[in-house]
Amino acid sequence: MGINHRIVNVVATCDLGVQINLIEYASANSDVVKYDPNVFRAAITRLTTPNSTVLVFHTGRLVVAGAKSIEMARTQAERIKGLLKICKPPLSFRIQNIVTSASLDKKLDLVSLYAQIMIHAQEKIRSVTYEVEIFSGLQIKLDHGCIIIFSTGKIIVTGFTSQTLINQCYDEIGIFLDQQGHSFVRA
Amino acid sequence: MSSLQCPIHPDANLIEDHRAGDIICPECGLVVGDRLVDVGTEWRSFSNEKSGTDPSRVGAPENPVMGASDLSTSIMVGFGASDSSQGLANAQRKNMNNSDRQMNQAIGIIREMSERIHLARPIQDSAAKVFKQILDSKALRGRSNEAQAAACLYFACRKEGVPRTFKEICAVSRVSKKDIGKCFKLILRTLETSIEQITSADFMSRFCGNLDLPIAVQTAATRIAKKAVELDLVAARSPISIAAAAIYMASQASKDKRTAKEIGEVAGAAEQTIKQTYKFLLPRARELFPPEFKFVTPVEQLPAS
Repeated sequence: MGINHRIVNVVATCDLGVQINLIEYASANSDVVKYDPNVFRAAITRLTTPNSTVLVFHTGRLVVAGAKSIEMARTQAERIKGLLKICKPPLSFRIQNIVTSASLDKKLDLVSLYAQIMIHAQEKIRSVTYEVEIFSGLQIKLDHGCIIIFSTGKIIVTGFTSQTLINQCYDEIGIFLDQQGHSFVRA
Repeated sequence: MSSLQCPIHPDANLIEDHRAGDIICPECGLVVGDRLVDVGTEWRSFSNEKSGTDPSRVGAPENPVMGASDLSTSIMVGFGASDSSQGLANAQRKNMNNSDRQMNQAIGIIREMSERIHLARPIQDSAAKVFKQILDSKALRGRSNEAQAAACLYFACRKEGVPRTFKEICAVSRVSKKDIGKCFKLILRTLETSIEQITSADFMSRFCGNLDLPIAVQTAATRIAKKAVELDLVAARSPISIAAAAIYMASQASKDKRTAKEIGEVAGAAEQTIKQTYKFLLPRARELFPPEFKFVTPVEQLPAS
């Protein structure tokens, strides 16, 4: 059973390989760049259409955040490269985190879900936490990522760095739902 | 007593001399048995008694949690003391290793916190045991002692089936709820145990007691909460909010009405949360109350918020 998910945020780092003069860069693009070295040692670039935020460090490294897909993260990095008038290709480009969200459209009983996970799924997960006083969601920590499930049926899968891992994760959730769902799915 | 006999007078009744720990034959004065263990009661000395000598022969009972260095003798050095007593105090301080010192400190903190909320001794001991376990595992290394102790206390209360809310533990500790929560999660991971989820019923008697509500209201509130969960009226709410809303409904229907604000202060729930949860309960109020409940304010006249 496929769970349709959408990517909400992609964070990536990129190394352009050249030293950058942030003061020049900030003054040349003052409409999109904010640089206050007393507050933070990087130029904060807010790109629009599509929206994302890029942190530019004087070493030539970038942090791209707020992209809605992996490709978009790459193109945003390219745009910054263009703004900086750098011709050579980046030394590295690496996805650090992908945040995705999905909805099951069913209400869940997290207490029974917690019990079911404790019984059936202990081998696949690192830990599961459901403490109502601390956080209203049930948090499952996996080897490379984390799943948060709310009682409204909304799911957040985060921490993974590739689309395949995410798909795998959602497939596992789907399987678990099919097998054990009867005990914790309401309505 | 074992069958000791005077070899010369086998029929004589032997006399026990407690002071010397001997068994003596009254006929000839022969000491038949010696080194008797005195099974009499021990002296207890109270601090305000002015006595020259302390007849107590033993120190405090051995505490298995503290390990080997649990001798309750500690060398205090007064003002202007001689060098030798200072040297003794330094020697004792040097001998006590770090984990024992931390253990002592933590036990003190746990005792102090427990006194404030009147927790029973077994829970304090359970918390101390948990602390010893996490101390040995070094899992909570960087955390402050107070945070670790508070989290152990919370864990012990949960484990013994008498949970206290995080806010109640916060009230007697100077640690933030966030830090206690983080330490608690680490304890769960270290001990690899799972504990029961909290339910509304765990808190009913305490909240109602703090609000001076009669037992009838408490029973009614317990039933309201239980039925509300069964009927799935309060899908995602925290058991504490459900308990608070149930108490609100039960008290408003009885002679002893309590405002949502008063209940919120006792339960650690926000007034708005209680009112919101109460709104979910109100439509089916009639089914939630126990059948034999005496309504001072009938269901129709219960407040709308």
